Amino acid sequence: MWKWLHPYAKSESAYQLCKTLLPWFAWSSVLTLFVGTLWGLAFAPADYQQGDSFRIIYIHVPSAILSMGAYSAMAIAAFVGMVWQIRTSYMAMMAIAPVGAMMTFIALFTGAAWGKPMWGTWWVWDARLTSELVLLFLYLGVISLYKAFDDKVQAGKAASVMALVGVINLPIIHYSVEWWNTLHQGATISKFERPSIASEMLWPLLINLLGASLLVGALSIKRLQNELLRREIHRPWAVKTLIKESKA
Amino acid sequence: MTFQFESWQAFWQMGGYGFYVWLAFGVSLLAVLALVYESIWTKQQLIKAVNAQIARKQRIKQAKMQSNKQTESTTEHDKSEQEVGRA
Amino acid sequence: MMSVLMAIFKRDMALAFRQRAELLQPMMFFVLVISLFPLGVGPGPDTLQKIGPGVIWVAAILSSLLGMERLFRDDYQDGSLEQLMLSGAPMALVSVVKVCVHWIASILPLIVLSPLLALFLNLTVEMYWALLATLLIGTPLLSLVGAVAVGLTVGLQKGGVLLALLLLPVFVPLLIFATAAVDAAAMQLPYSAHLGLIGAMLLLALALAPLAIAYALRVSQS
Repeated sequence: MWKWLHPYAKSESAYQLCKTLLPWFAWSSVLTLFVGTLWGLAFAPADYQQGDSFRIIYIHVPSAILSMGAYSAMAIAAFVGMVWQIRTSYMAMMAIAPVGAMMTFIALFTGAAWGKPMWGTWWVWDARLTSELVLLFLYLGVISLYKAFDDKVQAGKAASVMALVGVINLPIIHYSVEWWNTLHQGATISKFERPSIASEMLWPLLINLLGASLLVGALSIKRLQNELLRREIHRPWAVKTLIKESKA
Repeated sequence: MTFQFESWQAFWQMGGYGFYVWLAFGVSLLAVLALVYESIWTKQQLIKAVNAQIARKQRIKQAKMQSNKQTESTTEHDKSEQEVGRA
Repeated sequence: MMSVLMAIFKRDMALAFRQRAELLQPMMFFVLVISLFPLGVGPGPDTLQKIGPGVIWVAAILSSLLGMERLFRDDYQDGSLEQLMLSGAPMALVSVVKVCVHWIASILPLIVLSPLLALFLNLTVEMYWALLATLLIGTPLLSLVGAVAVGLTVGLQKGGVLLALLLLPVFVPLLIFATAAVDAAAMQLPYSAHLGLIGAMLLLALALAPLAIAYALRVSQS
């Protein structure tokens, strides 16, 4: 059933596949993010409680969801690489990691910028923010473990172990932090209920979620291409493609 | 689906929350652009590296041909060896 | 096979206790870090009691990280790890034995020291029992999960800081549950649920970590 996938384990065909996919992902993500953000910023109604600061949700929530999503994608790639010994899969894992870290950073930053007008401080040890912070550390750990090895085959294997340890731990971290947060509920911080979202607010959010997923896809594909070329720069196909693309 | 603000001024002010909203959107955009730029820059570096690799191969080839020529006229043997070394 | 594991256990114990200086360093670090806190936040007994469990646990995690590097380093450097792998001994079980030895040699002393620290930080008797229970269940978890990362970084020259970077986020749930158990004990509440959660994590780690350690060592050795 999965036989059609096998040729893509080879780096050259994986590169070609990336090349055909990239423009679709890139342009559709630009389009959807543009529509979603414009809709969210200018045409969606303001929240009756939080006013216009609520509009940060249109990037905060998609980036928070995608930061978790990218981590799972990374772990799946690690698992595939480990079980079937596919080098391209390790490369895909390391292509996704920085993109996921960027999404986590965006989720954290927008969370802080939203927290300042709502809670009065840039940072509170709110459950969601705290687990995003730990997630960022997990991403940085995987990336720096990969960078620490000179032999990149070994590096891919080591980083994939750490990615899998992280993904087993992530739900535990998430629930423990949530539970810890309810335990230490600060007296000064009035917790804002998530507004039950009206449909004219929901649409731009969904569009931006789609756009952010496409963006993660596009960036990961681009970085996977780079990684494939970098690792095989002495192979004829890589030299040929690079020369062709430098002339174009 | 109507424009929610009375004027552009009001749009930029975001009901008093302008700073936070634009800060969040701006920094997010910057983060994305930085990663996009880094990805494209890496590709450029790879192209440069491959060109250097090709140029190096050619230099080695030329030096070898030259040294072959010059070993026939054995006078400048030492100099050609230096050239190979440099290449 | 048991005899092989026993032999490894005896050998590692002998080796560990021969390097007494290296065993003492994490202990001294543990005591020093904890005695810095009263100097930093002031000697008020209530404050110390409030931050005590967290401080002891954070210090325990940090000092276990210090000693962790030793877990496979010497065996890796003198080649006996490679010998072990070639000998066909089941690496998952061997790594459990090694983690056991490491726990006995460098973490058990920290637990033995803990009454002293409880005095330093003005913990009540109930809090101390809870702390001891969490330390006894929680620190094997530290060693098991830590060994995975040690196995991955053993071949690297500068593994020390990287090890902390990899492991500290993973230990977050343990820290949360352990300190919550002691806090519950301070308020005379039952804390068996917290211990149960830590125990569940320990069992999960016991099931998965040996395989991961064995794989990590294979990756490092290649």
